[in-house]
Amino acid sequence: MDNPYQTSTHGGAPPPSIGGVTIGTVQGLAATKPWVRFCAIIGFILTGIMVFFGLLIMASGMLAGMAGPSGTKGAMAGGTAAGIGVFYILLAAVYLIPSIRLWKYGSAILNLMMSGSVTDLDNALEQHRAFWKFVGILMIIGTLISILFIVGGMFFFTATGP
Amino acid sequence: MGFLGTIFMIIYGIMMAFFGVMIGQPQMPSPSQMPAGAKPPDMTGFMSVMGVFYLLLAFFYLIPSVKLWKFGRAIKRLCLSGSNQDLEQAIEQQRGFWKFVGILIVVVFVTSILFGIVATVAMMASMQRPR
Repeated sequence: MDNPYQTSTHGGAPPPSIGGVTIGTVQGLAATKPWVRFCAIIGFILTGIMVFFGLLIMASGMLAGMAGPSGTKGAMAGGTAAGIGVFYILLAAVYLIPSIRLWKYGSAILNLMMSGSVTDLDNALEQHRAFWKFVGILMIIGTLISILFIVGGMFFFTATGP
Repeated sequence: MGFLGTIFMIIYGIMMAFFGVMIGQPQMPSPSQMPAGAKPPDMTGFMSVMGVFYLLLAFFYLIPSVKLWKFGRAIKRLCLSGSNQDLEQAIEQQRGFWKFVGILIVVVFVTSILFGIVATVAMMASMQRPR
């Protein structure tokens, strides 16, 4: 008996398909879905942890500012901690976006599995493309910021060195 | 970026493994830093182990980069041919990538939990040891 799920070959009969999309394509994406969803969930958890730590740092900074020495020093310590906390929360917001895109990719695969339509395949591939575009832009920005920090640090140490 | 990161990690691992042996050699601290008669810590073994650890980590990071590269090549083939077979191959490559990333996340989580347990047990054992 022929296996209807085997990979299609060139030159022969058209590959078996449902709604215009080959079964091999749907199966490949269906096997991707659990891993993509897993990565998205891990991303959500890590973002949640980052927000929690950001809030914790902000709260502890404010408490330290109130309980510590009154005046400029106490206010500065509290302000620095609050700034770091806000930075963490902003970073969490940036990290949340790829996780959402991955989740949407998983949902689009689920829609494709149910319909098998070319439109849903296009939508799934579009979500995947959007994810990689965002990650690529994030990598460029991260690399530029790192280079700026290194150059800035070198200038700072040269200026304040012995 | 993955390949660049792997190369940097390999360089860092080699530096730690080989130069760490020299850096980790016990040095003579100033008398104010060390109590009388105490030996300075020998970090040679630790640095070498960390270097090898970095090299292993670089190997693990290399695999998803290779898979992503293969995915890119499969997309290029698909753009040229537009055939269903090339589409299936491209999707198979990305499935392999996501599967590896997922397994890597599980391994990292389990290893972190194990390290945490071992560190907690070691800390508790050192606290309970009679002085």
